[in-house]
Amino acid sequence: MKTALRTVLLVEPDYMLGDNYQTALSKNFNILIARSAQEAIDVVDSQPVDLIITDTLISENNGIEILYEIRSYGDWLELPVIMLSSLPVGDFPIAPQDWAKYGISNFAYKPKTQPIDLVKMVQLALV
Amino acid sequence: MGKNNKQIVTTSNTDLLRVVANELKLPLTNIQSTASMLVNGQFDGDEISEQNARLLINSLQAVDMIDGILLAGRIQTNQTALDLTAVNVSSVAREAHAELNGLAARYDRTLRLQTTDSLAPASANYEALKTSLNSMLSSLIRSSKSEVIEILVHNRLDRVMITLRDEGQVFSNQTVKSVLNNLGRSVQPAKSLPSSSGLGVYISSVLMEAMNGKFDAYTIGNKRSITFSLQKSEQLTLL
Repeated sequence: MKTALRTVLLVEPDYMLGDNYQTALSKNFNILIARSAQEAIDVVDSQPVDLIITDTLISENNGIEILYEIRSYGDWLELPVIMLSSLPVGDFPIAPQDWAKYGISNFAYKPKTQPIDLVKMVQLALV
Repeated sequence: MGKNNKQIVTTSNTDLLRVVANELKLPLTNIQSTASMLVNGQFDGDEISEQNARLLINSLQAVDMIDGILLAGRIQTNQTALDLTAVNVSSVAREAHAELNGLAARYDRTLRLQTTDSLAPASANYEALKTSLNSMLSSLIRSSKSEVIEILVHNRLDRVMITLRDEGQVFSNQTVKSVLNNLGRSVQPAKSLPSSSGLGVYISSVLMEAMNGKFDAYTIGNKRSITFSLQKSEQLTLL
């Protein structure tokens, strides 16, 4: 019997980058795309999602606000989140030792993360 | 130079450097991600030529950003003065439209150009005007919420205008004024500007000022307009 693919919500405002990540991830996962924080919340509200990958600097809000929003609901407390950031880890406002507290499964510095690495991060987070 | 002035210049350089670095990362990240997928054989058939086209678009974007910032920097430090001649603004707008159509298509946007050949020439520097327009237009393409971005070229009294119009409130007049007011002292940190717009605002405002022109932005209802205004040229020769 074929196993249903796990669903990943990708929050990426840049269309071209979003296309690349979607192409790489869609071989192993069912991918939903959101371009803004509001779209992301709407998606999570309307259908089951197994993991979120979110950019940290999206148009009206930022990825950290999405994180707070998601963690404010009991149903989504355990939902794994991977942060995608244009800032290196040292400039990211949440220090690595606090990631677990905020439910951050992993952190990807976008300029140095290949889409194939992102696939591995998602696989690891969903084990 | 007093201690305070020195501090201001240092802050200015650091802020500007931060804006440039953050915005330059976007095309570079696109190049890195596309190139790595090509190397790993993650695209097939027709996808490969599309990805090669994206590599080219992003490379040119990065080069345009660097050229724009270097030119603006040279002007601000009085290392370069622009030669002003009679420029056909419609030609500049047509070139920008043609060059950025590919980028717009990748962001599901349409660039709609409205111009006429009967406009008076403007007193400008062709390359600087094009750099300024391309810079702002590419920022808009990446950050706009509109499917259509209009490029309108028109006369208004003694001026020749290019207006970029889309929908959105994010890019507020206050934001533009705040950046312009800080020119020469500091530029707004990237995080307080809408995505991909700080560098475009900086380059456009410096270059327009160097051509005795004006760069402005305003919103009426849900329509946002960004304007490049130049004096009509009194020279007869068109470039």
